[in-house]
Amino acid sequence: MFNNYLQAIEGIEIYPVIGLIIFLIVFISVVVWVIKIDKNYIREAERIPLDNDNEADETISLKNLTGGSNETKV
Amino acid sequence: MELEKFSYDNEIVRKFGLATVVWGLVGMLVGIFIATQLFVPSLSFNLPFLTFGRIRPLHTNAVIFAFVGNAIFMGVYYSLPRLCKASMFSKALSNFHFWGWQLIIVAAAISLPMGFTTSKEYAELEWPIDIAIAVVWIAFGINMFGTIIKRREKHMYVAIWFYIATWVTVTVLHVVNSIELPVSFLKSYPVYAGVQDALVQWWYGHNAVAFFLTTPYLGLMYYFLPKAANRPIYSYRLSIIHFWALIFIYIWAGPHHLLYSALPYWAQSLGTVFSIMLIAPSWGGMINGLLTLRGAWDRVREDPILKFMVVAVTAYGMATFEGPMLSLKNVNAIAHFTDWIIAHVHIGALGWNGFLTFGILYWLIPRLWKTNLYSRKLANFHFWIGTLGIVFYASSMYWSGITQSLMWKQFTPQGLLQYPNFLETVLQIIPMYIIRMIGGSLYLTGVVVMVYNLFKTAKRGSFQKEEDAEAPPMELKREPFKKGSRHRWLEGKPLQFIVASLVVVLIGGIVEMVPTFLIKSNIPTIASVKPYTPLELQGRDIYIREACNSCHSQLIRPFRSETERYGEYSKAGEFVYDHPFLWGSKRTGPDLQREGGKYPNVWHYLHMENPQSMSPGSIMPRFPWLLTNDLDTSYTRKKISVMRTLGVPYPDGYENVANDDLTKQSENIALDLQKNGAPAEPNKEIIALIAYLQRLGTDIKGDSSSSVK
Repeated sequence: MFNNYLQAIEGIEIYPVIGLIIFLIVFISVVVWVIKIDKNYIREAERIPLDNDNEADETISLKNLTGGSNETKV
Repeated sequence: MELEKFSYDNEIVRKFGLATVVWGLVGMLVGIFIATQLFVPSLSFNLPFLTFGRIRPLHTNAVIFAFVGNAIFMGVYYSLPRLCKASMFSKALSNFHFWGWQLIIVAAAISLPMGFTTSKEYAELEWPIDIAIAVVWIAFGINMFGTIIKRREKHMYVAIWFYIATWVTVTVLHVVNSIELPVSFLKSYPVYAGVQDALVQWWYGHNAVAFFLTTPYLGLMYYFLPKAANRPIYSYRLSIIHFWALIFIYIWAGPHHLLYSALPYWAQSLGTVFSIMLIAPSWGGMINGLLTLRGAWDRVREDPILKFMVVAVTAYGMATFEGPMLSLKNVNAIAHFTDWIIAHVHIGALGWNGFLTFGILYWLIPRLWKTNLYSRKLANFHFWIGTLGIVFYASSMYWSGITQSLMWKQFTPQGLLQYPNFLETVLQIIPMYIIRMIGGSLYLTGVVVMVYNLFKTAKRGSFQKEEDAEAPPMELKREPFKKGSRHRWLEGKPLQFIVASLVVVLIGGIVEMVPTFLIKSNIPTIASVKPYTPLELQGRDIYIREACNSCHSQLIRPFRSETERYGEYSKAGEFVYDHPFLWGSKRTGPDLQREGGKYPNVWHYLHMENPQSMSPGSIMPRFPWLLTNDLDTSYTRKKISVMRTLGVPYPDGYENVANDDLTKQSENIALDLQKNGAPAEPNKEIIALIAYLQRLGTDIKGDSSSSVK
């Protein structure tokens, strides 16, 4: 019922197709990139948030891991 | 290599954290208040600033921009400097950002209950506040990119990409959706009208969910989940695909909010296709989060932080599966305009945003105060009561949404509507509204417990304003170009990264928007559709001020159940003079598009004074002030000229005589009201509102009595 509006625009049906093609190109390129990335590099990158020199920070997370006994008292 | 010394600013993290908690409490409390109004309408106390329509945007804005917004900034100001191994670019900008943002929230909390609203969902704030938002947002951007540029870690961790995409896209969305012409200091009309305005608004609305509630939180997930689990993310490769696919696809899916509307068919279909495709990257992200905990599920049983995060990520997965399902036309036909959508967004808000925020707070506060969590038991209690709250909330809303929708669509064997009275379908779901309120209260109880727990935690520790750190400077020499290192190259260059994500986001926006702008000249003009008279225009602005569109749609879908109930379905050409469009997104009350001429003037008069007098059991609040407030006609002239600037064909010089026409029309209505026993005066607001309501949808009936000469 709204097709008449859309038909009034020249070459409108090509828009979604262009969109899909652009998307597929980007998506495939990203996948290719990702597959090619060096393993060591990935290992290095994924540890960035954990890469922490702060001693105090480590102790707290270790305590948390072991269920720090002094945390349970209310 | 020599290590450089610098420090992390914990003070700004603390400030944003405190704001998160305070605004979270406020936003949720307001939510419970309006949820209660839906079954105790007298809770509006007949006061304008406490009515559902005006308070509902306060709830949504408080939760989205105040609670979630501050939580985003808290997380970014903590994680970004640590991921960059650099202090924030400028402390002054950090503080400007903080105080500016809080000021905007306060401005919203005052202006929305006062009725200053653009009526566009999640973009209700009027133009001066829009400008303030832009300024503060740009300050945040400068601060963020300044930090990224002076970083000591060559690689930009995936969380930072999500922050960048968030900033870039929200900037684009905010600017495009806020283009409006001011009438006065706190009143403006959008440049878009009708179908276009709807498309722009839902392109914005959808992507506000995507790029304010989702991408920054994914960034936080990619930082804080590995932190809390003390292990790297499951697959860094998957996170790259997750990122690019998500930001590419999300922007296209906006039109799924307008299925079966007067929006062109191809745009609706485009929205559906991209919504379905969106499942893949969303679930990629969810799986990446959950699998990070592989082999560590024993700790999830013990650690409330991980529990919160697991439920948050699971809720993300549920909501992002449900969203695409809701964009299927046959599902949408049932779910749209009902409480189902309310359930859907609350799975996201309570589960994903809320629980991830709580997990981060439980992790972060003990660290900032150099101590351990005060009580793990209380945190566990919070987890369980919060989860229970979500279950109560969501199940009642699903139930009520589906029940009401099926009642709307039910025909008798004779082919008549089984429940022709809309109110009947409302009364049926009142028990669900009560359960929803209980669910929300349970959830809020959990938050109160958290606040106590965190307060006690902070009290036993000592806060460290600055945290010293050291790192070697970043090597500037270019690495040899290796095979497969192109994305690495991109990750090393923040500016290129910004441009790349902007381009990706704009492609979706342009392909979606350009045809719609072309459409303007192609929408068949319906000859009988005329601009509003000055009185109707004033009435429309009252309709906007009272946010009637919070509960009433003005969009009849082409279903027999709707045309039987409301009349002829909506045509795109009917809305060409609607700046802004008022289609609405939820039918707590019936649709009003064909309201004109349905009831006599006096019915509306009495109904506004006390809805229960005309519809016993109605949950609509009373609007008695409309009967006593004088209509402000001082802006009529300006309103007409602004509308003409926007393309509404008022004759030249019409603004000079507009108020004469206004007086004539209001005297006629007042005379009719007086004849029918209502003590109406022509200069009251109610007259304008009645004029507007009686005009609604009458144009295509060929009624020319109300058109401009």
